[in-house]
Amino acid sequence: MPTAENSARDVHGAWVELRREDRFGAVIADGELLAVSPDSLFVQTRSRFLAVAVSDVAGIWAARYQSGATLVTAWSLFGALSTVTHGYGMAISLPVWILTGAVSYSVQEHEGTLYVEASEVSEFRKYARFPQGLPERFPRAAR
Amino acid sequence: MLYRGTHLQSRAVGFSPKSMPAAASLTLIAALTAILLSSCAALRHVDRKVAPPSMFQRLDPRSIYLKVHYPDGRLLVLHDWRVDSEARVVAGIGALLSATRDTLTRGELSVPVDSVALFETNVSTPSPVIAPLTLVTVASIGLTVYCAAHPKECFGSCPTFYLGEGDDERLRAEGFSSSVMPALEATDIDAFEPELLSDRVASDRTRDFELTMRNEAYETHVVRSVRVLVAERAAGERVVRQVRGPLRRALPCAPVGRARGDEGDVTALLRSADGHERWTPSDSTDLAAREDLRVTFARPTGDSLGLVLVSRQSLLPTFVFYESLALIGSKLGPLLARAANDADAFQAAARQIWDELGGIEVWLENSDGERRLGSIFETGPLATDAVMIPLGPLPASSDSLTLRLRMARGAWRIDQVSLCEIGPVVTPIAVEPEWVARQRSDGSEVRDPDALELLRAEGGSLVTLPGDAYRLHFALPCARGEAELFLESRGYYLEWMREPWLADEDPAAAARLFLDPRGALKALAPKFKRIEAEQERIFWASKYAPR
Repeated sequence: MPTAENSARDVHGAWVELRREDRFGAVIADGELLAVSPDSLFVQTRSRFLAVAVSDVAGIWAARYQSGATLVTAWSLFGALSTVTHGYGMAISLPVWILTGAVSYSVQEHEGTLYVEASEVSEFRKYARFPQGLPERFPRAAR
Repeated sequence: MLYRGTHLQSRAVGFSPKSMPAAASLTLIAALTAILLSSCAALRHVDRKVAPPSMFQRLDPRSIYLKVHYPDGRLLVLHDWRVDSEARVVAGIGALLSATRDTLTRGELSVPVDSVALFETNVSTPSPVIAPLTLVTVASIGLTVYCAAHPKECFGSCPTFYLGEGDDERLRAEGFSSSVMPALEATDIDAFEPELLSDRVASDRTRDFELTMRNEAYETHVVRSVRVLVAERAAGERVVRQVRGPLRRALPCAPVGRARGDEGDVTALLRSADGHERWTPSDSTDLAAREDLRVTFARPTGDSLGLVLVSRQSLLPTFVFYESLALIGSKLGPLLARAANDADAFQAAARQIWDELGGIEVWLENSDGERRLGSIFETGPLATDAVMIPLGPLPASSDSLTLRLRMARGAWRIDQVSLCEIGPVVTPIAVEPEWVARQRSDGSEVRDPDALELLRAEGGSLVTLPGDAYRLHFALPCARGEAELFLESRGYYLEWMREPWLADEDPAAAARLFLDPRGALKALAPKFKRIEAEQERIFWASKYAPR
């Protein structure tokens, strides 16, 4: 998966997991998002080309780029460790670090990976390999 | 004396926040700074937009790369791109790829806008988490630097005793705060619950009592003994410690009717021991400058009354103490050696500066003038204590009693003032610990029979180093709610001279402490005023602030 900076020149679509029922439901398919049409999702899995009806999908988990959440974790961990040098002040500086770190991790994690409801999938087409739509002559045979 | 030499040598000093040297602080600062700088580059938010060909003149120039999608699935990725509005062409340096993302050609490339299906821009900006994390990092580094430069303001001293566990753990007592050398070894008695009204405790039927003793500063603690004094009481009754003399029963107790200081009416602050303390900033030119607090009570019935104060020192005396050590500097060792040989003379000399700061003097005002009742001087800024001063004979006819509390401005925090009827003397039962558990660096505990023996043995000493913590278990002779408990601790502690303090060594100023203590306190006033506000802020943010 590309870094955030490299995602700007990445030539492939986002990696997606199509879910049935809800965000924790069974995985219908996973692979590179090729295109989105009003009623279909086109995915290139590891072994084949797949077209899935939007109506069969509850939503998709999509990984756009590396979130860097691990770096946030390391930052917060060092910050929390540094509070041992604060003496009495540790009683407030440590909880502040823990809270800030937890919230920042959650926000940053969402930067890279997010869940998109089926009703909003059309907005996600810009992350497909072909945001303009699946080309007519795109080979759909197994790859 | 039974010093536990092997105990001292074989113990690995557990990881303790308070034993962290300056070098480790610098390492942490360097690591935090490096992470902050690298994160600014690595933590990004990318805003992706797609636009139809008709919008080619409004493509976001902040996008380093421009991706051009063809209708047949080909992709042109350009950097250093530009738009030629007249020719309706987009050009730049990059690569053209097929629908299957095989590279077709590279170099200086261009495409007519009319051939484009979609433009794609990606603008990279700093992640929104960087701002809050940077703010906390900068504040954290600032506090680390401050505490490294002023360790005495950030870290406490003398053994600290806690009740409860985990989030409920509360500091309840400090042991022998003024025993800073072997010659000043003393027995200290502190009330565990200075609040004069505690329904929660009164209903407690347990007979097990535990406390945690910690060494939380750069000190060596030599603890001779730790005992719990159990003073049985009847329902609704309290037992209090006197300034001088044995424990006494006290009931009933009347809250203060009116209290007024230089700042105005403070009655609400002093009516109950609720952690909301009355305190005033110190004088900016003389740390020994006095202030008066007048408290008035409706005259209760009863002939034998005592004023009960729930109070503790502020950080001012601690500052004076540590500044004294810094001024003495490298001469502290020889000074302590001389003091050990002539403790009385040393104590007399050292007492002068503490006498200048003074305790809380209590004066009874009446129509004939005023009478000094005594002085309360309980050392230690961390734990409050309740102490009673008997009023003695009272004016014959008076509907109210007014007392004047005189003290060094900024040196005391007073939580409650009440008037109690003094009851009979109480002889408490002294309870030794039943078992002792040592806390290890990983948070686990292990029973330590050797430590127990050292605390219980006549002449024994348990020596603790920074980071050491022990849990002491006591089996009470009665239900918890049926007794007033006091901590009795005996020992002394040795301050570790910190390197930053040696830089402050000043023999002339140190001599002034003994020869002209009032002058020394005036000379220290500006320095204390500069840090007083920051000390208060740190204190109120700490676990030692009342909850």
